[in-house]
Amino acid sequence: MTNALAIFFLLLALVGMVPTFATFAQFLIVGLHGIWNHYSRSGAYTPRVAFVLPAWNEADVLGASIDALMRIDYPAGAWRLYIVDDASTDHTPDVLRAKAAQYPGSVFHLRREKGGEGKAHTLNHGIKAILAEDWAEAIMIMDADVLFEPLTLRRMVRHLADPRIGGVTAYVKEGSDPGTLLSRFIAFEYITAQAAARRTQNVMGGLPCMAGGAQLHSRDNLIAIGGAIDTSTLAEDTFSTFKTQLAGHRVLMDGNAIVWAEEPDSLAALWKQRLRWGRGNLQITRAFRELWFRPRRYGLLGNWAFGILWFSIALVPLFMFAGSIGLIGLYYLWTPWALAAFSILWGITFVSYLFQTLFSFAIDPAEARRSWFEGIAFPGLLSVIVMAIALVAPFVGLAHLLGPARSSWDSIAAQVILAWSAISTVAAWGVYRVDKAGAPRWLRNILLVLFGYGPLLCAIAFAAIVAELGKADLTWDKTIKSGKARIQAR
Amino acid sequence: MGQDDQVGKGQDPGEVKAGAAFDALQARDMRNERRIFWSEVVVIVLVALLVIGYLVALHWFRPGIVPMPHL
Repeated sequence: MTNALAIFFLLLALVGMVPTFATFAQFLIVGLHGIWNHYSRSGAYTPRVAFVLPAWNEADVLGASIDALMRIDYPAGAWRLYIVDDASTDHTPDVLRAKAAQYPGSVFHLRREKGGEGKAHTLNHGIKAILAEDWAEAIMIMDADVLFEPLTLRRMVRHLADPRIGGVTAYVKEGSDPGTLLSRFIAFEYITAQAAARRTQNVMGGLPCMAGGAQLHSRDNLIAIGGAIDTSTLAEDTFSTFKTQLAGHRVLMDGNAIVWAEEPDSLAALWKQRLRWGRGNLQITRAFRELWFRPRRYGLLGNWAFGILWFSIALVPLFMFAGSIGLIGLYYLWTPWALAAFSILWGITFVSYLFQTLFSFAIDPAEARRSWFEGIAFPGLLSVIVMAIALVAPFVGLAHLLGPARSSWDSIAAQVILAWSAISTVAAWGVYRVDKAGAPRWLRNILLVLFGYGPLLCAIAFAAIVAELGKADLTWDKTIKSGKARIQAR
Repeated sequence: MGQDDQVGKGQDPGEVKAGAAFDALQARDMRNERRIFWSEVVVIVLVALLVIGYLVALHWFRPGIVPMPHL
């Protein structure tokens, strides 16, 4: 019985490593995008593009977004901007009227009289108007705060020269100026989650999500997926991406096509945004439940690697808790095994962390110059110390460092270290609560650096699971933007 | 033999310019992808050397290794 339990806990500890192995493997493939990419099949293609931009109380950000679009390098008359005002109650209609007058023939103002139903409904109002005419050959879905670099549209549409491509997304970068510790954490996160991960997904043959801030569809594709955006989940961009691929079209990300966006500048706003994303991913998991791990029927979306990557993100807190329970269980049954397993597993975690951090810096050197510290502190400095303990422990003797316990304090310290994955997640939730309670920003920043931005995302993912299990309502909780994003040096 | 039959059949200068701009953009972006590829090779080699160094050190200084228990 004891043997079976020990093996069970060892397996739990290994299960806890699944997200680490999955992201490590994903990072190892990134570079292959230099060999296997879509550039050789793209062409000098400049279709007529209709941008559709949903706006609800976006007076602070709309002007800059429209002005940035006017500077894009694209044939005059070959693109239009349709802004759908979702019954805004601020000065958005005034801004739109002024911009429509300033750029006649380029900016079109559509207004919903009954608003507040969410982004997807607003987008559909615009898409319906666009598809009612024959003019548009491609449709770009974007957010009100997104700033396009001059060549971004050209970089995206070139892939539509290949008729197999149904959708293209861009590399969305955090552009808050001046930046903050939180915005730099997000900027580094986007190197790993977009610039790196989506290159790997290009190599694998498809994406789980085309970013809603810059999602280009061919007209044929948009019609093939029903001519409208899904309104049943909180992840309409992911839903469209899945539908596109299930309709037989390919999607990809062009990592050189860059747009800049303003991301949340408080933990409360970040929590709200990521909770929506996390819940959306779980809703997608359920909505497409028939395709997981069925490669013969569903190709890429059904293949095992894709499924493991998907679930290791959507359910990351469960893996973290499983790993911690495994090590603690082993500690009580066979302390030496727990210590050896800890040393090996956290040692591998360190190798993965080192590789991902250094390589992320190399993928986007300009961003690395701005957010190198946040890259190092991404898992939390205390987690880095735990990794260091795992590496040093075999030299000084695991038993000397972690056990067998000479006192109850030794035992508690050993268990805190062994369960650090779970503890850091709970602690990161505590940082969010402290920030929400109105703690000074310097205190929040210190705590965030110590406990980590990664564990904070893990805590939000756990909250998303709880919200979905509790069947929380689907109210669209919009992230408020203040217009401080800028196109920055590359 | 003249080339009168080809008059007016050349590529539009605008198209030539657009084609050249497209080629330049493609070349620049593919260069960036190759840079990322070689960066990864360098990082892999660097991390692998560190791991090998660590394992060699572990081999030479192994007093702390706890023998696995027999279940």
